[in-house]
Formats: sequence, C-alpha cells, structure tokens
Amino acid sequence: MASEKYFPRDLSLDAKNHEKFKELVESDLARALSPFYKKTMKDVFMYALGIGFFDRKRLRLQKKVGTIPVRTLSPRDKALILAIAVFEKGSLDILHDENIKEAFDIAEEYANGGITTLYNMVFGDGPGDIDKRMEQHLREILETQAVELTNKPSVKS
Amino acid sequence: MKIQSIELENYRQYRGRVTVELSCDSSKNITVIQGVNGSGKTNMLNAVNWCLYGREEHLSKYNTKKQPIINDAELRELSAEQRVIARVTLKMIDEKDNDRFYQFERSIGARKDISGRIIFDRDSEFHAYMQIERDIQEIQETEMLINRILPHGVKSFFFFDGERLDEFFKEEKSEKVREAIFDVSQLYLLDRTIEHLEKTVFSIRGEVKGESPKVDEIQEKIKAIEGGLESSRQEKKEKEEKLRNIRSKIAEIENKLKDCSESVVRALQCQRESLEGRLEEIEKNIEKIREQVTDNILEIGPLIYCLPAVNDAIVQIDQKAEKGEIPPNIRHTFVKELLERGKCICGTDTKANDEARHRLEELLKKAIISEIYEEIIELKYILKPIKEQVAKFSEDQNLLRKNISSLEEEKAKIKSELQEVSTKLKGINVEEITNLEITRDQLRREEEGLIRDLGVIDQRITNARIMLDKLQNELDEELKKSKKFMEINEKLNLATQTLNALGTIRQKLIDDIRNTIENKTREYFLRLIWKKETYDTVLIDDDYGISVINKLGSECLGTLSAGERQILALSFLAALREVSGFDAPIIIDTPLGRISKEHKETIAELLPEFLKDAQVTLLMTDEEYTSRVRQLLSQKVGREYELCYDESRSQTMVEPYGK
Repeated sequence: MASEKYFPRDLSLDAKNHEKFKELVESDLARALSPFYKKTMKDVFMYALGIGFFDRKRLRLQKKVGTIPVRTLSPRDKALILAIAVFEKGSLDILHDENIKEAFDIAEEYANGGITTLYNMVFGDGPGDIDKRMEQHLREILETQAVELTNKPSVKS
Repeated sequence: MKIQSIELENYRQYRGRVTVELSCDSSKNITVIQGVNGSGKTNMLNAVNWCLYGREEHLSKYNTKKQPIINDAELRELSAEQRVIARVTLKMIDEKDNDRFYQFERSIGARKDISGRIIFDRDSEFHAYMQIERDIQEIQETEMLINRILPHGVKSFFFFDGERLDEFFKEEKSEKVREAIFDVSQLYLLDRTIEHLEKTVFSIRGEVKGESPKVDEIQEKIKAIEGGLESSRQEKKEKEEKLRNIRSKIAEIENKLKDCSESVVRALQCQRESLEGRLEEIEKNIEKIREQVTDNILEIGPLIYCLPAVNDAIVQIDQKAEKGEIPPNIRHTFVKELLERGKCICGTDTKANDEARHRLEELLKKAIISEIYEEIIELKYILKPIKEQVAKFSEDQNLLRKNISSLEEEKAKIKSELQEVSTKLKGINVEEITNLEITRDQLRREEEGLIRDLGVIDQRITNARIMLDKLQNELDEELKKSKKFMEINEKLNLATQTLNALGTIRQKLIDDIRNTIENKTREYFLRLIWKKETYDTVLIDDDYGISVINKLGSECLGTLSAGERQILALSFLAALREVSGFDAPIIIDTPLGRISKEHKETIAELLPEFLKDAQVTLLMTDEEYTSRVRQLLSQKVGREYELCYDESRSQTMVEPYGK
C-alpha cells in the first residue's frame, strides 16, 4: 500500500500472552491438537485479532514484545487491520499517514483480547476434532450474519 | 575413475584365476556380463564390494546356507596340511589424475588340519597400491584412500542390485531417502565436530564445582538427564535396528510370495501390493485435503469474524463517493500552502480575516481525503472480494469434507480387501504359505508396536533436550556469580556460538542438497518417463517423503508400475551420484530384473542416457539381455561376456559373449 512507509516494523504482543502464541504454533501439545502447528505467529495473530474483534474485546498491552514483522502480513491481512480501524474510528481518516500507527495499535489490542479465547478453544475445549469445532463456530456466525451479508450497512456515526 | 579389471581367484564360483577386463572406452562405456541365475553375476558385484569394503552385501538371495568365500571344490579337494587362498584384485585408473593407477587386493585363506577339519582365517588381508610418479607404492592408510575414491556411505549409489532398486520406494521410503541424502551430504566430519564441541561445552561447565550448593545441584540434575538421554538414544538405536530387521523380513516374505510357484499366491501378493499402493495414495490425499480444510479455516476465519468491519469500511468508502468527496476535487497540500502563505486565491488576507481562515481550515480537514485517496481505492479493491470469499466458505468446506468421506469409505473398503487377501493366503493348502502369511501378520503387528515405541522415545528425547537446555541456562546464570566463571566464560561463549553456527550450517547444507536432489530427480524422471502427459512433478518434502504428483495434482507414488518405479529410483540414484561428486564406476546387477517385457526395452534404451558419463557394468540374465535389448545397447557396449557355470566342477568360466 502507498502508506506502508508509515506502518510499524513489528506487531507487538503482550509479554504475558506471548507464550500462548508460541505454544499454539510449536509446542508438543500443538503438534497433536493445534491447527496452527507449523504455521506462523502471524497466522495466530490474525485469528486472535478476528476473535477479539468479534467479541469486541480490546485489551491494552501491559508490556510490549515486538515479535511479528509486519512484512509477513499479506495485503489482505493489512486491509483487514485497516478496515477494523476504520470501523472503530468511524472514519477513513485513520488511513492518513500519521494516524496509521493507531490502526496497528487497535489490531494489537484486539489480538491481545482474543488470544486467550483462541488458546482455550484449541487446548481447553476437551477432546474432539478442533478443526470441526472451529469450522462449526464460523458456520454459526455466518448463519447469524446472513442478514448483514445482504448489504445491511452499519456505519458508526 | 574406472576399473580396468576384476581378478577373481578361488572366489566363490570362480575357481582358479579368472580375469574380467572392463571397457575403459568413454564412447563405449558399458560392459555387459550375462549369465543365468546362479552362475555368479551377483557374486561379481559382491567381489567388488568385498575387495574394497570387506563385506558382501548382496548375499541374501542365493547364499542361504552361508557358504564360505573360498571356492567349494577347492576346499573339498584340499589335502591335509594344505592351504588355499581366495583373492579378489581390482585394478583401477583415474583418468582425471593423469591415469594414475591403483590396485586393491583382498584375500582370505583356509587350511585343512590333519584331522581333515577346515580352519578358516579369522580376518581377510587387504592391500592397496597406488602409483606415485613412476613407482607403485603400498599405502598403509587404506581407509583414507578408499574414502577418497568412493566412501562406504555412498557406494550403494554406484554398486547396486536392480531387483532391490524396484523396492527402493516401497519400504521405509522416507527413511531410505533421508539416509541417502545424509550419506551423500558427507556430514560425518561436521557431525563429529558438533559432538566433540557438545562434550567440550559440557566439560567446561563441569570445571566449576564446589562453587555453591546450587551449582552442584544443577550439575547433578544435568548429569542425571544426560544419562537418561544416552540410554534413550541407545534404546532408540536398538529399536530402529529391530524395525529395520522386521521390515526386511516382511519384504523377504513378500518376495517369496511374489516368486511362489503357485500362481494364485503370486496373484494375491500382487493384488496386495497394488491395494497397499492405492491405500497409501488415499491416505496421502486425505491428509492433503485435511490440510486444505485447516488452511481454509485459518484463512477465512478472521475474515468471517471481522465481516462487520469489512462491510462497514466498504460502505464508508461508497458514501464518500456518493457525496462526491472521492475522487477529491481539491488537494490537501494546496490548501495547506494557502494557509501557510496567509493569502487565499481570491486575494483575501487570511491572517487578518478570521472567517476566511476558518473556512480554509475546514477545507483542509476535508481535503485530507486527497492524501489518502490511493489507500482508500486500494483498500476497497482488496476488501470487496472478501465478501465473496466468506460467502463461499461453507460450500468449499462441504466439498472438501465430502471428498474426505468418500476417500475414507474407499480406504475402509481397501482395508477389508487387504484383510480378505490375507485370509485367502492363510487358507491356501500349502503349509509354507500359511506360515509365511501368519508370520507376516505377526511382524506387521510388531512393526506397528515398534513405531509407537519409537514415537514415545522421540518424545522422551525431545523433553530431555528441552529440560537440559533449561538447566544449562540456569547453570549459566548461577555460574555468572562465580569468580571462576569469569575465566571460562569466554571459552563457553565461543564454544556455544560455534555450536549454533555449525548447527545452522549443517541444516543449510542438508536443505540445499535435498533441494538439488529433488530438482535433479524431477528433471531426470520427467525427461525419461514414457507417460509424459500423466506426471507433473516429483517432490521430496521436509520429512524426506518422496511424492510423484500427476497432472491432476494427486500423489501417485503408490500406484507407479514396477517399470515407472525403476525409472524413479534410477533418477534418484543418478541425482545422488551427481550430487555426491564422486566419479566412480557403476555396477548394476539385474538392471531389468523386475521389469515387464513391454518396458524392458524402453528402460534399456534409456539406460545409456542415465549413465552416460560413467563406466558402467551391467550384470544381466539371459532373460534381460534379449537380442532386442542387446541391439538397443550395442552402440555403447565396449565389452561383452557370458558366464558359463559348470556344475560338475562347481566352477564358473568367463567367456566372450556368444562364443
């Protein structure tokens, strides 16, 4: 994107949740249970961001640990982060150079808000096919969002 | 490097002294030695292996009674107090080193004592000679010399049995591929250095003792874990060895069933092989589709959760367009400039006129859109398809899950067919067959158990390593408080940094070599396979699993015919040989052994292309070396021999072909 020079270099995680990100990707338990096993921290971040946003749970980071390089995000990931910020601020002005850093702060806070739910979803929901459970959750959301999908705008004033 | 001649003296079927001169002509690089089964072809390959490495690795098929190396008849006719010697001599020249001459000789003797008992020498005797300037000199560092020519680890890519080649990708595939790539990588020196450094680091840490009770406590814990780790490694080694034995026994049983005189048994074993191939293919495809299911969830999941934000951003952009704010009709920088200058374009002094200034400031706020116009358009361009991707999610997942369940059904069907094959084999009214099948069943169960055990051991080893790392960090922290540590700190840092660097180098080397081998195998396979429109690529994954992908994107290694597998194995060996960098001669026993008639000729036609830059010796049966095959190879054959076995004298003669 044209304004990429204003993007931060790394996405930060909260130090106290950092291990959860790592465990979802590379722990022994992840090998058996986690769909994120052998994926990247970026994948966990984007999923946690989604859950955090869906639950409207923004948690300020207590101690930042910068570990995910922004260059690993795809154009679609970046667009999603900006869309969330536009939604949150109710204005496209967040896309302006100096403001863009805030869009990434918002994303970090939502990811921080969603990581515990995601972690518990993967490791704490008892036996069974985790893929199926995650998919089922997404299908349920799609069903309830079906009305919104038929172009019902929800602009924040 | 070429073999000028192989001299056999009282070696197995070869009584007295027999010399076979191989073709050293680069334009006619192939020597064919033809003989019926049992005439001594395989022992020609064994002789070369025995001479250079002291081992005969191709005995299992014919030497079930563990016959001695020394010729039978010579031993029988030996008088009391007399001695006989078996000897193999290889004369070689290195064309790339001014035709430097080498000679290798291995011999073993036996004598008959007065009571008529034959006493064999315990060890063979080995001598290596090398031309130095004009002299021939005996070399004492024989192992070093052999390693320079063709190390033990890579010799099986140069001297091999064609019949076993057919099995190359059938049993323990990824393990064999992994071993081959490691062998060809020649990382032993690096591994030894790493091992040595690890021990050094350990002993450096051990230098500090009695500094504090905490240090001693951690040292003790480390020692205990190291001990456990060592015994786990040992256990792993033993189980792996056991697993290899079991697998080779299974392969042996399956070969016996495949070669059985009862046609029904042969047919059932062939059916089993084809079912197992299909089963493997299905399992790989199920795994692949499952990965797609997961990838879809991880990719589309965040979009579904954030759909309200996506919709909202699109609506906001559309509303701006409706209001006529985009595309922008006024530039932000222009208004900013007017304000800085203090004068509007209409001439009003904005510094003196508050109202005019406020109006410009308002305009400036609105004009920000001109600065981010490109971002907005790009954002909309990326966000728009998200709605479609989300809408397709359920449908895509349904399709993938449907594919999985139909493959699962097929898998269950094949498993029950396999069970049926086994029951039929057990029910055949030949005791030997029933027993073979029962043993196979038992071995399969043992194999499964061992694989599970190895999984547990691997886990134990990983945990111990993690624990060791943790304790070593703790120890380092404690040692920092000690005076002695200051002295050894530098040593420790250097050793650990070197270890890390070596680990990275090692991995990088292996990855590079694996990629090169993958590319070369693919290149050869696709160039030489006859069904060019069927196959798309050959891959070697991170776990050293080899896959052949067809044009439809499915994995199909399990369903390759014996001929196609042979081409794949030859391609893989050619790649390994090339990557190994050794310019050694190639000897292939029964290169067309298991190939059906229709593909025998095709492979014969392709062989010279595979092996064009090396000296090649083909040991073929009369069924392989047909007149058509002979004709196809004729341009490249420099020497041709026929092995004639005289049963009455237990002796093989080597004659020029067709004499």
